[in-house]
Formats: sequence, C-alpha cells, structure tokens
Amino acid sequence: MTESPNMPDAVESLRSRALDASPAMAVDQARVLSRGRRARLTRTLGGTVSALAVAGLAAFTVTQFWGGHTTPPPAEHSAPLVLPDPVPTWVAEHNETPIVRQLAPGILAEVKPALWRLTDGTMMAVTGMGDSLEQASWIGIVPASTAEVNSALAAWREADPSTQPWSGDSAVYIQSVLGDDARRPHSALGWRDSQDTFSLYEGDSPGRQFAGRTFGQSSGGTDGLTGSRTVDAMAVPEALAGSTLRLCLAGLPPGGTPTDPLVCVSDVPMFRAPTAQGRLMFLVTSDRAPAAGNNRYLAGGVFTEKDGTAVPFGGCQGDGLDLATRTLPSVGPWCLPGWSPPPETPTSQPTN
Amino acid sequence: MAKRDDEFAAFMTAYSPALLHTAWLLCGDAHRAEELTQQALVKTYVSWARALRTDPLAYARRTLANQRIDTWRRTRREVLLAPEDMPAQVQSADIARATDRDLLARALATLPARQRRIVVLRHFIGLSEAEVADDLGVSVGTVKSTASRALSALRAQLGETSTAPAPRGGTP
Repeated sequence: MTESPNMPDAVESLRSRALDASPAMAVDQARVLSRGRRARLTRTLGGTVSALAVAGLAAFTVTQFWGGHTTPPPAEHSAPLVLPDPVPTWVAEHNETPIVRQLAPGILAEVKPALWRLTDGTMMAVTGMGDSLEQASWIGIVPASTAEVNSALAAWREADPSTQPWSGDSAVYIQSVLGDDARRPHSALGWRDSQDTFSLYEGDSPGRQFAGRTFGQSSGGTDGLTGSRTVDAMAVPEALAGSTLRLCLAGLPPGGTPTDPLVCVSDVPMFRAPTAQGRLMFLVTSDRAPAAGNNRYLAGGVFTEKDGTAVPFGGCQGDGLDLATRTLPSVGPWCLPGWSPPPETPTSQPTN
Repeated sequence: MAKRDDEFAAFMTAYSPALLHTAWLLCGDAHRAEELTQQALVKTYVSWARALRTDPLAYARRTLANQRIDTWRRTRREVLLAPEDMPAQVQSADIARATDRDLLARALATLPARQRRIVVLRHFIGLSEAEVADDLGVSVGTVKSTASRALSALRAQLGETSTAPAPRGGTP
C-alpha cells in the first residue's frame, strides 16, 4: 500500500491508522476452490443443469401457476432507458395458505405462492421461498426485456448505460425481496432494500441442447447460522414442456462419491416462468445448515414426459440430449459415478 | 486441474488478506467482506487463464470492486462488531483500534458506492488514477473529479471527529 497524494489531513490520519484496523477476516480456500470448480464446470458445459453443492431443497407448489396470467414481455426500449416513476404499491392478486413440505430431515420448505401485480402493470411471481433468516424475504421472478436488463446492469455496476452487456433474447430476473419495500426510483428491476441478484435466463441457443438449463444462481448473504445460500433456477426445455419431475438429493462427501439418495420428491412442482416463452421452471435453494459434517449435496432427477419418455438431468446429465427424440445418449464426464435417480418407489417424502 | 488449483491456492494465500481489506473498506462489514472476497475469488478462479495473462491480483481486485457492495443495510447507522472481534480483556489499544475502525466504516459508508469505490482504490489501496479508471471502467477524469468530491465529503465527515495526528508524507 502506498501513500496517497493530496490527502486531506483528517482522511490521511484515519487512513494511516486504518492500515491495521480492519477486523479479523479469512477466506475459506477449500470453499472457494469447490465453488470455483463448480462454476467453471457449469460454464464449460454451457450453463446447463447444475445443482451440485445444493445443500437443501425447497420446492414450491405453484404448478401451472402463471398459467393464464402470462404477461407479455415489456416493449423494447432504446438505451438509455427512460422509466416512469414507480408506484410503490404492490397488489396481491393471489395468496394461499402456506404449504410446508419436509424434503429431508432438517430441511423444510415453506411456500406461500402468490402472484403480485405492481401497479405499473408488471407481474411478479413471488415464490414464498426466503433466502434470509434475518427478516421476512421472498424470491420473486419478473419478466425483463433486454433493454431493462441492460439498464439495470448499468445502474447496478454504475456503468455507462449506453453499454449493452446483455444480448440475450429474453430474460427473467430473480429478486430476493426483503419486506414490502417500494421499488427503487427509476429502476425497472430493483427495490430499495433488497439483496439484488441478477439471474438471467439466457434464452435458447441453437448450439446448445440440454435437458435443463440453469439460468440463475444467486447467493444470499451469510446470516451467521447457515452460511451462504444459493438458489438455482432451472428452465425446462421446450421439448419437455409437458413433463413431470422427480427430484432426488444425495449427500456428496468432499472428494468422495455420492451417498444413496437421501430423499426423493415426486412430481416436483413447476410453474410457468414469466419468460417470453413462458417456459416451465423450478427452483431449488441450498442451505448448508442441515448438512453438518457433509455440507454438499447433489440434486438430480428425471423428467418424464406424458408418453413415458424419461430424461435424466442433474447428477447424471450429459450434453447429448436430442430434443427431437428426447433422448440422452450418454452422460457427461461430470456425471458422478455410481449414482442415478432410483426407481420411483417407497422413498417419496411425506408432504404436510 | 491440480496445477491450476495449486497455483490458485498459492494466489489466495498470498493475496487474500489484501483483498479482504479492500472488501472491508468497500462494504464496512467483515462478514460481507468475506463473502465479497470469496465471490471475487471464485470468479477469478473460473477465469484464471485470462487473469494470468495480465495481473491476477488486479483481475481479482477489479472483480471485487465491481460487485454489489451495498447489499448490507445502507441505512444502518451503527457498525456492528462481531463477537469474535471482542477481546476478553479489552486494552486501550484495542479500544482505539476499534474506534478507528468504527470511524472509518461510518465515514466511508456515507459515500455513494461509486465515490466509495474510487476513494478506496485510489487513496486507501494506493492505485494510480489510471489503474482505478481501468478497474472501474471509467475515465481518468471521472476518477479525479469523483475522488475530489469523495475526499471533500470525507473531510467534512471526519473534520469534527478525527483526532488527526500529524499527517504522513509520501509518494504516490
């Protein structure tokens, strides 16, 4: 660290004393490497299904929830985007009794599915899944145009709004919403007090064909109890739009092979995401807390079409899916050996 | 993979303290700083080959500085001290250090995120104006003007509270 020129006395004084003032902090190198390998693998495979290191699961029952409420994607704008003043009021259109599902011992998912309409007309799917223990929070999903995403990215990074880093054909935005706060002024995507996470659905690329695609992963903050939480959102390819999903969790010891599935959940709820295509989507959220001594999990499962065609994903996902025939000829090298979703029999978890 | 991991582990060992310090200056919260640093390191790991072609530390620092730094409660006025940071036997030097830390975090937290990034990188980390401009993707002129405003704000913020020992000289 070097001295700085023209430093006002008071600032320079504090700066010099601050050299030794930062609190004790540390980086968990093993965790960084683990997350880095996972992120690299995910990127290498083109952002396909990746639920490695998922340490918990929250499925929510909003099947076909979006259904007839699909909102047309906002019109494209030319940058810089000029937004109207927000109306800081949410109107609940739908709210149901909370659903509590036990996914595994110590892992509970509480779901309060709701559809909200912002008074500017934007629709938001509020999953009810929270990613913070500090206060009430939810994960909401809103549609976003390319211009809106670029505008929000520019605001987020305080960059020149004329830059257009996002060129996806469509997007949804996953937002962790804390409380009932109002929207941030002049921001299409953002709330005043929220844990912003940009999780963008890439849209389809002709060269990429996968059984599922992770379009978003958001990291929650540490809460001192459970460590970081992550949310993986997965969109179901169009060819599998009529499928059901059976999702399993298996323990994944560090450096080891996965254990037998701890739990499997049949008919995992999916809902139509507010993408331009209205794709099916499901979310999983991780929580390290229940994983004492074994803090990684693998999520994998099987999509089953109405005609009985089964397509595995996740732990045994490969990159050779033929969407036309809905077959997966081979599994990828990162498919963990010796593990595949078991036959659907008695391991389904009770739902209450 | 093993070579990459070994290289990166060595990099983390060498530079994590500096990155953590920068993160703490940017966000004012130790736990958030740890999270920001880890996120930056993960991204650096993913792009390790590209980072190696230039300056890995600069790459990691750039990634760190461009992350969201205001996810902690911006409206919170007090600065929390983690329980593990509370010594059993509080010495006067510890109190002074904690006071400085508190004062610094409060002052920096009053700055808008952009000003905070620039003043931290320029005046607390000691980067050149060109380096700050490159890290943040802004012009050198923006760095100069923003730093000037930020320092004025800090001066106003600290004017009445700093004990202001004799300033140190030095070179940029």
